[in-house]
Amino acid sequence: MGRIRILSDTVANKIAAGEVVERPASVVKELLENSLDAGARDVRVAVEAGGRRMIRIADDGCGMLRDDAMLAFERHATSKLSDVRDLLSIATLGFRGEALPSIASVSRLLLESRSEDEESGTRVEIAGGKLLRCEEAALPRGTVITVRDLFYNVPARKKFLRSEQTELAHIASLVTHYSLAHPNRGFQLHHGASELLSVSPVAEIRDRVYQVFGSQTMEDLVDLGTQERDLELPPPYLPPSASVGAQLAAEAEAEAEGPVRAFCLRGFVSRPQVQKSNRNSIYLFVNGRLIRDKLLMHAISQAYANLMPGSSYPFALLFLDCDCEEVDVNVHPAKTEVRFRHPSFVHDFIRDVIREVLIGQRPASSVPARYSPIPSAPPPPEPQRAAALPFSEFSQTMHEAGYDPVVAQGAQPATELRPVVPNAQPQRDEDLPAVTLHHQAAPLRLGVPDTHGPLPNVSIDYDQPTMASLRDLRPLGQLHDSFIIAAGRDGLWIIDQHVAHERILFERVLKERGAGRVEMQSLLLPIVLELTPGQQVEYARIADELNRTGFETEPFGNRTIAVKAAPAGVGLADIEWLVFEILEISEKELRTVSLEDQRRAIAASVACRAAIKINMRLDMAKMEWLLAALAATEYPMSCPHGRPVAMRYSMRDILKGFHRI
Amino acid sequence: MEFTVSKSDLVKELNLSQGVVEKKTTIPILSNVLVEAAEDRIVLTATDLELGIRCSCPAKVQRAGAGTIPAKRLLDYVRLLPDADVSVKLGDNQWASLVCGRSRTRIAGMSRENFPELPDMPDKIADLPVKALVSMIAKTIFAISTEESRFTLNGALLLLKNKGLTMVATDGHRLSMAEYEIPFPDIAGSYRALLPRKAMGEILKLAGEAGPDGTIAFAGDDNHLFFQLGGRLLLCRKLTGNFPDFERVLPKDQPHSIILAKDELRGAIERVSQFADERSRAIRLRLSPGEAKIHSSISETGESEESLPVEYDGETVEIGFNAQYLLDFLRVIPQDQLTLRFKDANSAGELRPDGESVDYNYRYVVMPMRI
Repeated sequence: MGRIRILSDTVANKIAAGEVVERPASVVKELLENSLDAGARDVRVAVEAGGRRMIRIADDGCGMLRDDAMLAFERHATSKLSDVRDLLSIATLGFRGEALPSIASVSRLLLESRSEDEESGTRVEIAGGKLLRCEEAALPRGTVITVRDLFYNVPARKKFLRSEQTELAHIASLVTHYSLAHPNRGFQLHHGASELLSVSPVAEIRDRVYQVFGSQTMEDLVDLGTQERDLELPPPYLPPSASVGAQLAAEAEAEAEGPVRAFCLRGFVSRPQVQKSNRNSIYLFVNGRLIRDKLLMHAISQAYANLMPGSSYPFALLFLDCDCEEVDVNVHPAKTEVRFRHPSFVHDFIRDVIREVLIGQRPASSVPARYSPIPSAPPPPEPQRAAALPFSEFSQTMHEAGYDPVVAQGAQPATELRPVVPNAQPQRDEDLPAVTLHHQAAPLRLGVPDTHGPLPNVSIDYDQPTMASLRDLRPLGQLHDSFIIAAGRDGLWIIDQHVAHERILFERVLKERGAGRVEMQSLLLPIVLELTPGQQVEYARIADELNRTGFETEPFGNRTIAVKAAPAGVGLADIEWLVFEILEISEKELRTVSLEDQRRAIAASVACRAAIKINMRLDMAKMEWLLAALAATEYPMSCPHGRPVAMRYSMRDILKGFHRI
Repeated sequence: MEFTVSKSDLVKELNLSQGVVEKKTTIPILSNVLVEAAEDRIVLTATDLELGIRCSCPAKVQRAGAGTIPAKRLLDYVRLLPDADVSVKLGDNQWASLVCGRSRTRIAGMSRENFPELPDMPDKIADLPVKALVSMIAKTIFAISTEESRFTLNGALLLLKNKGLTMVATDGHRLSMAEYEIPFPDIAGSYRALLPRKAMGEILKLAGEAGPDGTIAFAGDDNHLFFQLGGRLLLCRKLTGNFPDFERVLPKDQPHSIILAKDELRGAIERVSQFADERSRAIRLRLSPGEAKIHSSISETGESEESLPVEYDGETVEIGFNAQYLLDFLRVIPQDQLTLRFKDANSAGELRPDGESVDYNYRYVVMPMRI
């Protein structure tokens, strides 16, 4: 007898389970997708012990006929696909027909379901892939699947499960993601008795974001609106998937409806001042499917280039919708990876949309305050507990650290600026020893007689602050010779003079460079620089670009260059520093990137060195000039390295702080 | 310590110390002035450790002694007193009491123990004519680099030779050199020192107080330079480092030279530079036979052009310059005319005052801009 034999279904299912069912969160994901594909309006997820003991998902979807309920546990049984051609245009979340048998093979599973078309429902019980029971039962419409004792028969896998908190965090972030992708459905997540997420169906993504993350996050977000761009199909075609035969692909290509494919992007991105240290707050959905994709990540970071430090990431919630033919989801059993047929188009589309919206918005940082933005609105929802969970399925690194929802939720920015008046201590307390006691004790609120007169009769702008109001700013003075304090229609502004000037110069340097007219100042004595071998190689490569940027250099013997002229405005002492920095930039990272990016990096360096520094006294005329020039820039919110330019203390916060409203 | 001094004498000497007293009170005692009373004089000393000044005035000393008093507060107060004698008494508790007419004041002082000791003036190297020194400082001080990291350029080079006195300053873009023919028979070879900008300003102040005639006794030790003018002594730390080799920078080959009227040129540049980039201040100078055109433009804002008649018959040359650099020179020369020497768009231009009254050698080299 030969050594090779066909594996039994039980074994095959367990192998498949290894790919599909990695942890409790994978079970939740597969079942959740089934519920959504079944058209459920309301999905309830309940887990116990981080999903290790029990996971129950109840929906009000279409349910299953009795025969289907049995068949569903057969391998590769699915209602979502019938033809290989369908694989090219998958519109449902699931399609592989592997999930249920895989899950059933590694747990004790109870399926209760009733289809609308049948009077009674079906109850199926399976343990370790063996059918134990199948009976008729009185059930409401929809499907309830209860998975108990996951991996009870796979001890090796069970050992690899993380702590209860970690597994729970994965589940919570997963449900949160899906709730964001499907605002028109209701979601609930319970862990034992505690509720982690509860959102009712709403019409708009905006409302769902508000429900999930609360008002604080919402304030920091910019709505992208609905952005569309058409791709005109070029004649040559790219093979869509390795797993589908080439002739079929060709056939599909021939059958494609038209030469134009529409792409649509919706969602939210954060203002550049929101800076996260990892990518956990970037949520990407392609055709409603949560994915992880390097291409899109790169597009996002490109959009934020020069607005945010390189090591920071924004919050982003992006929904990309496109023709199903344009994206191949059949890459990995977990279905978190996709391939685009026209990756560079998608990349540029996303980058351009985000960048344009950010620049158009010109949002200003506001001084973080504790108050809600809309006075008459009902109290804003606190962020849902699930949204505050520290992990995401998409985390690049996993932490074993214990998860404490209370702490995570209560975390506030450390730099919170609050009105300080109530706690103000008298300065000369040795003279007035008794007074301090008042301030330490619980505040005694006395009725405040309105003896202060009415508010100045100015229209106070409660709108979102935008940098557009920079134009009306009137400088009041300088703080520590470093920050310009300015009064505007809508409040008090604090502007970092160095960063502001940097932004002005950056745009000017780029513009001059673009127009090919860089002003250079020749030096009396050339500055001679010695290069390392690495720098020498780089120098040879970028000498031309260096020249065109305004640094006239020429080789001066072995590994030595002489700088004979530098861009006007760059101080003598900065020249050496700058040339080395530019050589370093290109050496480190930009070797592979475009000339345009390199040019931006050089411009950023030049601007930074030429800009006025902090700790420099400015007279009023200079400050006025600086503010006017800043208002004239294309993107006055942050410096080329991503630091914010200005902060605003809104009139509303000031009035609140003085208990005027 | 106890003494009586005329108010106007005290104010005059305290005024001189104000430029030296440290404004940022990193070391508190440096914002005080040291007052020493002995015989029939009081000596006032102030320092910020880089620069020091010691001056004196006659006084009736009842009890000799010394102490320090906050310099600014003392001057601000004494200045407001009526013109009369002021009696100052400094007790062991370091409180100074001032009595003048019906005014009485107490000022908290500090013990002199902590006041830094200033070095003594060594043997004199030379006597410098006040007039020449003041003129040289005025002609070079504006070209000193304001960048603090270019340490050796934060002052001017003072060069004494057997036959002449030279001062040179540069910021890397331009160089200003003034030379007087004054014989120094005692100097063998040459004496070089780097004089900090702040000291140059103080010398101007001292000289302004003393009048243009007379001489300043000049001396130097390893680390310090000393300038004595009458009873007042200014000393400063030398700047260290090597000043650039200025001889090499001075242009040798300049085929073209034109004569320009100062006021016309200055007015033209001032007007045209309104339309120059605020940061680079770049203007273009276009020289063609019979005409010098000055032009600048900012693409979005506007442009401006002026034309001056000149005697020139060479080829047409267009050179970019920083307008500020040219104006600095035009504002400092007293003469009505100047010469501009140049070669081409990539070589340095040189300005010199022109006319009969020039009894010194003044060369101002400006590197061009490429626009």
